[in-house]
Amino acid sequence: MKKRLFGLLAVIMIAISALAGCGGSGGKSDSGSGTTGTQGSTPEASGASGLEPTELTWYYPLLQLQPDQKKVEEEINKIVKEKLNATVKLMPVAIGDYVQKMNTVLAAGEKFDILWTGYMLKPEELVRKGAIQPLNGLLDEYAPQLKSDVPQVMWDGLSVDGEIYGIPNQQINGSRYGFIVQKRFADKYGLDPSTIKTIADIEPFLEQIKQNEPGIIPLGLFGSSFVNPQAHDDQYWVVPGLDDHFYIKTDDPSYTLHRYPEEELDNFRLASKWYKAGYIHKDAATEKMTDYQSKGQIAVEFDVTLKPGVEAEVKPKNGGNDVIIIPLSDWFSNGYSATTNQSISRTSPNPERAMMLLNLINTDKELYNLMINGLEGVHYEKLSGEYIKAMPDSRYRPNMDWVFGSVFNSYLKEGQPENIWEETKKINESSEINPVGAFKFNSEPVSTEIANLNAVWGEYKRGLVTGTLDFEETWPVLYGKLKEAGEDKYVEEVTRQFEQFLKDKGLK
Amino acid sequence: MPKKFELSKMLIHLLFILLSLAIVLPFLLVVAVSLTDEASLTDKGYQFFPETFSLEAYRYLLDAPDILLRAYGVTITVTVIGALAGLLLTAMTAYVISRPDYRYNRVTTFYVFFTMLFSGGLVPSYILITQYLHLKDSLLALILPVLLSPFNIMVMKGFMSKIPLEIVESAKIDGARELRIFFRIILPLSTPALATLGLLISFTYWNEWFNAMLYIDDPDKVPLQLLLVRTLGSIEFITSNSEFSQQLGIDLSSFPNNSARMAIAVLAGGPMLIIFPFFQRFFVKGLTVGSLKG
Repeated sequence: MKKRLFGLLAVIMIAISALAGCGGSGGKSDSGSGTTGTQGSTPEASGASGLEPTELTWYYPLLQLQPDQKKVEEEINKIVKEKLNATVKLMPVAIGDYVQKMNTVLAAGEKFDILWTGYMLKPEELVRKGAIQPLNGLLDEYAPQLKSDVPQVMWDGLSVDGEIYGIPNQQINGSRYGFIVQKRFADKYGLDPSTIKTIADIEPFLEQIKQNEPGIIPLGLFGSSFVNPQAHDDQYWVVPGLDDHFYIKTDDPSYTLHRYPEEELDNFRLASKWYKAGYIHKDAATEKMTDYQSKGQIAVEFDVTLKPGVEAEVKPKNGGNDVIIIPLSDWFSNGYSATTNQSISRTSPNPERAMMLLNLINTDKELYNLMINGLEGVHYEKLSGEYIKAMPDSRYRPNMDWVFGSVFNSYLKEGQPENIWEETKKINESSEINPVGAFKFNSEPVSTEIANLNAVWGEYKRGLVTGTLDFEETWPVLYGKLKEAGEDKYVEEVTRQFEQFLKDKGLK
Repeated sequence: MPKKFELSKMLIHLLFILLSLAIVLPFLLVVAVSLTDEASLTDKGYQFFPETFSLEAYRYLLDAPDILLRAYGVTITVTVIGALAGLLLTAMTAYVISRPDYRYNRVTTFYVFFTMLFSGGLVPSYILITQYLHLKDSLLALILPVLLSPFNIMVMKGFMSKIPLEIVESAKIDGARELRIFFRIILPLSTPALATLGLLISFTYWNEWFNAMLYIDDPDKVPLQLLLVRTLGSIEFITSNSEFSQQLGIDLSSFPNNSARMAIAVLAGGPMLIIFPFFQRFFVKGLTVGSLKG
C-alpha cells in the first residue's frame, strides 16, 4: 500500500513538473510570437494604404467605475472609427485592484494593446519582466508631433537602455516648496511675503499668531512634510530614490555624497525649538492635520509642490479661508519619474494602431475631453470660454484627467487660472533638473538593513519632525540605533552604486 | 408558588447574558457608527448613541441604487447555485471516498488531500479560466473556482465514514441501487454535516470578491462584495489624495470616511444576518431528524 502511494506521489510530481514546464514554455513562446508579430507587421502596415478595421483593448485605473461608461465609449468609438478605422475597448479597473489585476493579466500573457503605467505600476519594472514593448520606432513613424511636443526630460525618464517604453500623460513636472498662509492672518499682521526667504524667517509671524489668536495653531506641522526632505535648496540636492538623507552639494563637480549634513539637522533643531515655543500643536505627533485644517485652525502650512492654481485648491481644505503662498525655492525637478503614462503591451496584436490611438488621444482635444468629461450637455455643460462645469449627479465623471493623456488639452474647471496650462508648460521646461535625478538604487543587496533602518526611523520620525522629541537629546540615541540597524552597510552600498552611476553617466 | 432563588442558575444566566452582550454589542456599535455624522465621529469617537444622526454614509453608498441592487442579485444567484451544487458535489465525493469497500479509496483521498497542500497558484488559474475555459465575464468564473473545497470534502468524509456500512448493505439487500442509497439513505443521515457545510459554502460564496476582481469586467455582473471593496478602495484614495476631493467638490471634513466603512459592513453582512436566523430553524431541525432514532 505504502509503495503504491509513493508511486502515485511520484506520478503526480512528474505530471506537475511537466505541466509547469508546459506553462513556462507556453508563456515564452507566446511573448516570442508577440515580438515577431511586431517586427513583422510594422513595415506591412506602413505599406498598406487603407487601414484594416481593428479592435484595441485599453486597460487603465479609475477611481470609481462610471455608470455611463458604455455611452461614452460609443461616442469615443465614433471618433476613433472615423479617424483610425478602429474601435477601442475600454477596460477601466478600480484603482485599488489595478496593480494586482494587471500583474495577473500580464503574467498570463493575455492579448491586449494599451495599459496605463505609472507610479503604482512602474514601466521600468514591466520592462524587466518583458511585459511592454519599446516605442522608438513606432513614435517616429506614427506620432512625430507627439514626440516633439513632449519635453526630452520626460522621454529620458521613460527610457530603459536607450529605448522609450511609455508615452507620458503630461502634467506638472516640477516642484518648489514654501508656505501656505491664511490670508486673514497675513493681512491682519501685515505679513510681507518678500521678507520671507528661508524657513526660519516665518518665526516672528508665528509668534504673533501664538500671542493673539487663541485656538489657532500657528504652524500646521503634523509629521508628514517639512524638514525632511527638502529635495533642493541653495546648497543641496537630495539624491532621489533613497531614504532622503543623502545629499549632494549643488555646485559640486565631484558629486560627493553627504549623509545627514548639519543643514538638514538644523531643520530638526528648528522644529524642536518651535515646538517648545508652542508654535506646533502639542499633540501633533499623534493627531491628524486634516481634523484641524478643515476647521480653518491652521495659520501656516508647509507645502512641497505649490503648483499654479494651488490657492484655489487649498481653500476648501482650509475651511473655506483664502490663502496666499510664499515660495521659498525656485522650480526644480528630479527629471521625470514616470508618474503617469501609457505603454503598449508586448502581446499587442496591433502595436502600430495602438500608437496611432495614443497619438490621437494626446492631440485631439475633442476626443480627450470626451474621455475625461463625458458628453457635453449630458455630463457637463460649457460655461464661458474654455470653462466647463460638471452636471450635478453626472453619471460619467471619472475626474482622473491624468490617466488618459496630456492634461494640457483639458477644458478648464472653475477656479483654475485661465493660463494654468501655459504656466505649467513653462515650469516643465524651465525647472532646474537634479543632476543625479536619474539615479536608481537597487535595494536588493541591503533590503534587510533598509527594513531595520525604516523601523528605527518609524519609531522616531514623527516625534522629531514635529519637534515633540527634543533633538539634542534624541539624536545621539537615534543615531546609535541606526548604526546598530546597519547604517554603515547601507551607506557603503549606496556609495558603491552611486559611484558606479556617476561613472556610467560620465559625470566622473 | 414562587420559585426558589437559585444562585447557580443566576450565575449561569449571568454568564450567558454577558456572552450574548459581548456578541451583540459590537454589531450594534457598527450599526450605530454607520448612522453617525462624520464630524462628530472625529470629535467624540465611536458611540453607541450617535450624537448627530446622519444618513450621509448610506447616501454615499447608495448613490446609484440600480448598481447595488444588481450586485445583490449577482451575489444571491451565485450563492444559491454555488452552495447547492457545491454541497451536492462535496457530499458525492466524500461519500465515495468514505466507503470502505471502494478499492481505491485511500488513493482517491490522497488525491483530494494533495490539492490542499499544493495548488497551481494565481497565474495558472487565471490562464486556465480565461484562455482555456473562456469564462471571462461569466458567472461560472465565480462559481467554479470555489465549487469544491478539499477541506470540506475531508470534513464530510469524516462524518460519513461514521455511518455504519451495514446500513448500506441492508439497503442493498432490500433492492436499492447506489444512487437510491445515496439520495434516500446517506444524505438524510448526513443532514447535520450538510447543514454545517452548506452554511460554510454559502458564506464562502457570499464573501467572495477576489475571483470577481480578476474575471469580471462587465459592470452588470459585479457581485456585492467586489462593489464594496472598490468603494472602500476609492474612499481610501479620496481621503489620502486630497487634491481629488477638491476636484470632486467634496468637503473632506464631512466626507463619510469612517461611517461609510461601517455602512459597508452593514450592507455586506446585514442580509446574511437577517436571513440566517430564519434558516437556523431548519438547521436545528435537520440536526435532530434522522433515521437513527433510539
